[in-house]
Parts: sequence; C-alpha cells; structure tokens
Amino acid sequence: MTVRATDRLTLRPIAATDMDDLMPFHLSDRGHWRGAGPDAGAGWAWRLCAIPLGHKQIHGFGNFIGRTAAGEAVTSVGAFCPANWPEREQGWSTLTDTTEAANTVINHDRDELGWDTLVSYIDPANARSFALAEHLGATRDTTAPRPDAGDLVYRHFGAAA
Amino acid sequence: MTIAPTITTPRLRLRGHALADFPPLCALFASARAAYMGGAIPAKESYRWIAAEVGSWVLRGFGSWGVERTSDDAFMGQIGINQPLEFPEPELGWVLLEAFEGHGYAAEGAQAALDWWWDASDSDTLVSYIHPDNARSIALASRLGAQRDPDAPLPDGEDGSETVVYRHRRPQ
Repeated sequence: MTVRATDRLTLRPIAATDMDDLMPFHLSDRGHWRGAGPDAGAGWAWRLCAIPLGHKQIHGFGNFIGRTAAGEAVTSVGAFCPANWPEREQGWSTLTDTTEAANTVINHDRDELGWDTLVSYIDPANARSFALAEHLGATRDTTAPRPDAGDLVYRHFGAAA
Repeated sequence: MTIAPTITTPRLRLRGHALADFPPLCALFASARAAYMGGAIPAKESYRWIAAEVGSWVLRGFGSWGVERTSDDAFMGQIGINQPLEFPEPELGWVLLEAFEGHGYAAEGAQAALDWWWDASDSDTLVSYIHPDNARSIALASRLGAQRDPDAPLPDGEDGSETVVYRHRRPQ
C-alpha cells in the first residue's frame, strides 16, 4: 500500500530493503532519540529495524519510509503501540526531513483509518522533535498517561479517551 | 512480506504471534522463570524482543511462533528460530508457560520447528543456546537428538558460564 506518491515524496510501509538506510541512522548521534546511538551496538540497531516490521504484523499498522523521487530515504514515520503503551503513538526518525511525511501519515491515520486520536511521546531534551510536533499543529497534553513519566505528550488530533 | 507459516502437529499449532500473546509472554519473561533467559525482563523490553522476533520473518525468513493447544486454542508459549546479529548462526529456542510443562508439548513443538527448518532451509544444522544450569532444556535438546558442541562459537558477549551449545543436525 502506498499512502502517497508525489513528485517529491513516496511513502510506503517499511520493508526489509529499508534496513540499509535505517541501520546507519540508528547508529548515528540522532539514533539516540530512538533508543540507539553510536554506542548502542549493531545488534540493538538491527532489532530496532526488526521491531517495526514485527509491529506491523502484530498490529496491522506501523511505520512508513519516505523517499524522494530519486530514492533517497528522508524519514521513517508511523504509529507504534506496544503492549504497554497507553494509546497509539506517532513517532519519527528524521534522516533529513520529516514534516511532509508526518503530515501525510497523521492525516491518513485520521481520515483513512478513522482513528479518533493520536499522540507523540517526546523526550523533553529533544527540542527539534517537539518543535516539529508543534509545527505539525500538535498541542501539549499534560494529563495523558505516558510510558515514561518524563515524556512530553503532544496530541495531534482528537482528545484523550 | 514473509510471515510465520502455520504448522499443525497432533496436539499443537505453531502460528504467527498475535497481540494477545504479549501479556502472558511478557509476564513469563518478567518472572523468575526467565532466570535462564537473561533474567527477569521488564515488559517494555520483552515486547521489543518478541516484536523483533516477528520482524525476523521479514528480514531472515525465519523467526518466532506462538504455540497453541489445538484442543482448546489455549496459548502455551513460544518456539522460535532466530538469529539476531549477536548470534553466529540460527538458534532454535522454546519457552512454555508453567501450566503447560510436563506433557511433552515443548518437545512436540520444537520437533515441528526442526522439521520445518530441514524442509525450508538449505542448512544442515541448527543450534540451541542453553544455560548450563537449565537441566530441563538440556534434557529436551538431547531428546530432540542434539549433541553438545563445545567448539561452537557463542553469541557475542556470552561465555561458557551462561551458555552451552547443543547442535541439531539434519537427519540422514
């Protein structure tokens, strides 16, 4: 299923072939924000690629890879809801640019999948990520349950259940 | 996208993991029964490990199954063939919820996974990594025909105090 294909950006569910772009991201400095980073080790970075592939099978929804017309991977973005998450969460790994892809996927979740609401959990030290959430129109939800007490919760649409 | 094939034995069904498998499996991995599997693991961690073993079907063409009893569809545990990057070769593992131990279910399921592997892969071998104090698992590996392989490489970061290798070989 392709969610969107324009001259600028194609979004497709992540696949095994996206590993070549996602492994180096997880092992980069910015991979720190997704639970990896330069010291995480290749084994954990491999798992971080395998987890969303498994999540898609278990839950039926998950991450998309955004690529330019030239094939360059610019972002991985999509919803994640492991067993201990209070609700569905939109995450992103910005290789070079997430804004357009995140907007597209959020609209897809609301309009095509019919979801009532969607949040992002963001580390308060990750200024770029919560700036993006705000740019996408999300608002802080100070009362929603969250997986880690220190996380900020940004709600993209709808209201807490 | 490769997904886990469903395998049926006289008493069991091995099928792809479902969301409902996670509460009982995560509780098992968080309990003292996980002592031989790297210690009690918080639910957040075990979710990720299990999800990665499902994603392994896409990346490797093999991975983990949830195990059900065919007579009543009860969820019994997990059997998997996995090779995360830390493993030098693919490994067959098994874990059952306590209530289902002692009936030969693990042997029946593991044998089905072995048979699938000999059929689906070109490989003539498969290992099981077992804690040296886990007498039940060692007995099961032996019952399946595996033999101790003292020369086999261990997973990265493990040593003989926590892992011994039992090697399964393709039947001649």
